[in-house]
Amino acid sequence: MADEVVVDALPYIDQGYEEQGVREAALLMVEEETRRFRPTKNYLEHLPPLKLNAFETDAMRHEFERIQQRLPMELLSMKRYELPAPPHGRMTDIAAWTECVDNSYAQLQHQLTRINNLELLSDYGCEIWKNEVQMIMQYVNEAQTSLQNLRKQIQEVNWARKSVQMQVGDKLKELEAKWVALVSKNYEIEQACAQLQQDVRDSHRLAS
Amino acid sequence: MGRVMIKGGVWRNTEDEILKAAVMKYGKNQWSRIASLLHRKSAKQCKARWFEWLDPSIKKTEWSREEDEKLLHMAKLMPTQWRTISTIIGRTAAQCLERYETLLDQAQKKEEGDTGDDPRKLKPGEIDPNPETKPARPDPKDMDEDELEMLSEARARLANTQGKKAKRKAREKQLEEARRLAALQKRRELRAAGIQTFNRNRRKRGIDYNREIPFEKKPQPGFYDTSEDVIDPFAPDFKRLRQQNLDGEMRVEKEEKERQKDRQKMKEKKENQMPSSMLSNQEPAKKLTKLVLPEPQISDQDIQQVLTVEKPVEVIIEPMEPDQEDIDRRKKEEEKRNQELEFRRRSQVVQRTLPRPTDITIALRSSKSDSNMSDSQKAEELIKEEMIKMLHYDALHSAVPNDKLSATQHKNYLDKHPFEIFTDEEMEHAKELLKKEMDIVKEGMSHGAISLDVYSQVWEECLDQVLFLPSQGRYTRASLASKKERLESLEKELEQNRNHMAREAKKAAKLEKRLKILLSGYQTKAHQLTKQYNELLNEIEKATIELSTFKHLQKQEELAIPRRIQALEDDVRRQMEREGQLQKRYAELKLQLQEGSM
Repeated sequence: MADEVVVDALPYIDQGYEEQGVREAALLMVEEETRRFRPTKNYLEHLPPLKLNAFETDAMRHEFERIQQRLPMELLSMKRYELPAPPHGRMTDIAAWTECVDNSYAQLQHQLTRINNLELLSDYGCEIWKNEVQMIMQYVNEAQTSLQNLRKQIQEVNWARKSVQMQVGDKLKELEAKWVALVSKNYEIEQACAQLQQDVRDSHRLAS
Repeated sequence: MGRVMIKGGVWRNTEDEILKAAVMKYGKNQWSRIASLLHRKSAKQCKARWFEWLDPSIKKTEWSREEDEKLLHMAKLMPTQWRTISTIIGRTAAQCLERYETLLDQAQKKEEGDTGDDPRKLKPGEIDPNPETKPARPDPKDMDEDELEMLSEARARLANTQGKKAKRKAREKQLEEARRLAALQKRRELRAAGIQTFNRNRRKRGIDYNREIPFEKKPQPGFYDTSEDVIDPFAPDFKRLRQQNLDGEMRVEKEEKERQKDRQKMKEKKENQMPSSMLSNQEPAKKLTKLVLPEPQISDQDIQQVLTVEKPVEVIIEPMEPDQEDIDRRKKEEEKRNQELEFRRRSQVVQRTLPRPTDITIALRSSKSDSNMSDSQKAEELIKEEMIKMLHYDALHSAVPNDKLSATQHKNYLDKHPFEIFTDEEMEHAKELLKKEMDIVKEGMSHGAISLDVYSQVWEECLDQVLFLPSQGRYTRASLASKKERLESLEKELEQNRNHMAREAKKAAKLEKRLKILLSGYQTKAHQLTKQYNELLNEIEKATIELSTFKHLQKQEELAIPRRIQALEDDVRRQMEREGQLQKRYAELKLQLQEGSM
């Protein structure tokens, strides 16, 4: 479709874009085009087909189902962290008691690990965070420089366009002026011709 | 005889303003001076006006309910003591009294139910007995002559910041200064011209303070001429000595002082929130940095080279006296080695810093039954005895924390049962014997090499069998205990673990809090930066799209330009052709016309 219409606008020399209604008309055209446009070809053909559940695990599937059914999330049970005694009915059950004591050991070990982790963090946390901040800063700097580069490129492209168009613009204007002059000249000649013809016709009549 | 004027009456606005300005100038002590500015008011009245109404610290707002309650309460507690009450309530005494009376009136009115007007409202013809506590009356538009006069006079007096005397003094001072400077200048010029003048204008009157001491009184000559005395400045000054200086500080006082110092120190530490671990072990506050020496100018290799080259030249080094430092060091090393050897000879328990019992209670069988015992039993007894000895010895030489026995008890025991010290060879021999025995047992029981897994399994099984009985305070075998005992033991264990848990949780929470303070700054910074980075990425994406769009446009335009030029040129050419045709036609017509007219 793009081949049919040749866009030959030269915005740096053409005038009339600023006039009222032009912009609206252009926007209308764009809208109409978008409404009419039907993608007939699958432009993602070269890519493999989508695998939507490639990263889905059982837990995730379960959660998605829950969200679909609009059920609230299950609250984390904090019960075992309180080192509970066995339930009331099993106060005399040695197995239950052993279980509880084992749980308490497990939790103690967990707590110990937590403290170890915290101590590690207190030893190395500052340095690590410092490094992290520095790294992000570096990223930010890189991003800024690349953004500046892009801006510069955009400007250069626009400069090039403008200079080319300005050069061409003079020539176009000259041609246009010439054309206008020729047209009006032709018109005058035509009129003069008509006048002459009339005169010729009159003289013929006189002669006859 | 002049008219007797009784001062007083309602306060005017001008009077209030004058009074305020006057207080600003003269302060709150010279009321008669202030009153001289206001000829309608006496000093007492001025003072009353200030302290009852004008003082900016007086509260003139409506009485609040709390204040009313307080007032009624205080009035009951301290009847008629309005000055005292006023300081408590924070209003003036007159305000308190008046409010109290209004409150009483209201109460009475309520009781009697009569709706008569306020009894303390002034009736026409009455004169306000204390106008000082009422708001000022506004000034009339046309003030009296004398009032205007008073105002202008007060303005003049208050505006005058210096008295006559102060003015005169200032002028005199200035003149004096000018005269002095002139004299100085004159003398300097004379000196520059080489004329030396002496300060001739010696003071005739008064005292020259540079020469004499005014009103000097010479001390009376005593019995003993002290002019020849020589005083040693470092000799003890017995006049100033007190008993305390001779005795030195009392021990009790010293102790008290030290204690106070300690308390202060603890307090400071607590205030600084130093962790308790820092209080207990005395680490140096500042870590010493590594000693950094400059690089040697001649490397080892260079020296080696020099040595190899200059081998034939023998350097004679005189045998030096051994350095005292070396001797000391050697001695120290020797001591250290001895200590290490000593430590090697100690029991394995001490060497490996294993936990030791706080109490030594191993029952030895009575020695009476010796004859009945088998050899192995006897050997066991001997081993036990040796063990007890070692326990005592160890406890004496490297203390057990929370030891229940005192050092003297250990010593007593060791005195009775002397601890034998064996030589290293003997120990080696014993160890070898033990090893041999172990090998034999291993072989006899066909243990072979036990893998770690098997070993730990057996160990865990054994450990499971160990059961603590809290009620009896001892350990036993799990298989021997009753169910109730086992339950009890488990419960105790759980309880203990809970306690541990609580302690650990507290510690962890503390750590977390500290870390939060420590790291939150970095976190917020990182967060901000990440946000900024994301924004930048967005912008980059936008800019990339923009760039590609403009490039596309450029390409389009490159195509469009020649086309447009071509089209226009075509148009122009067509018009030119047409012009040619038209010209031709014109010429033809012209010809025709000429032919026709001819």
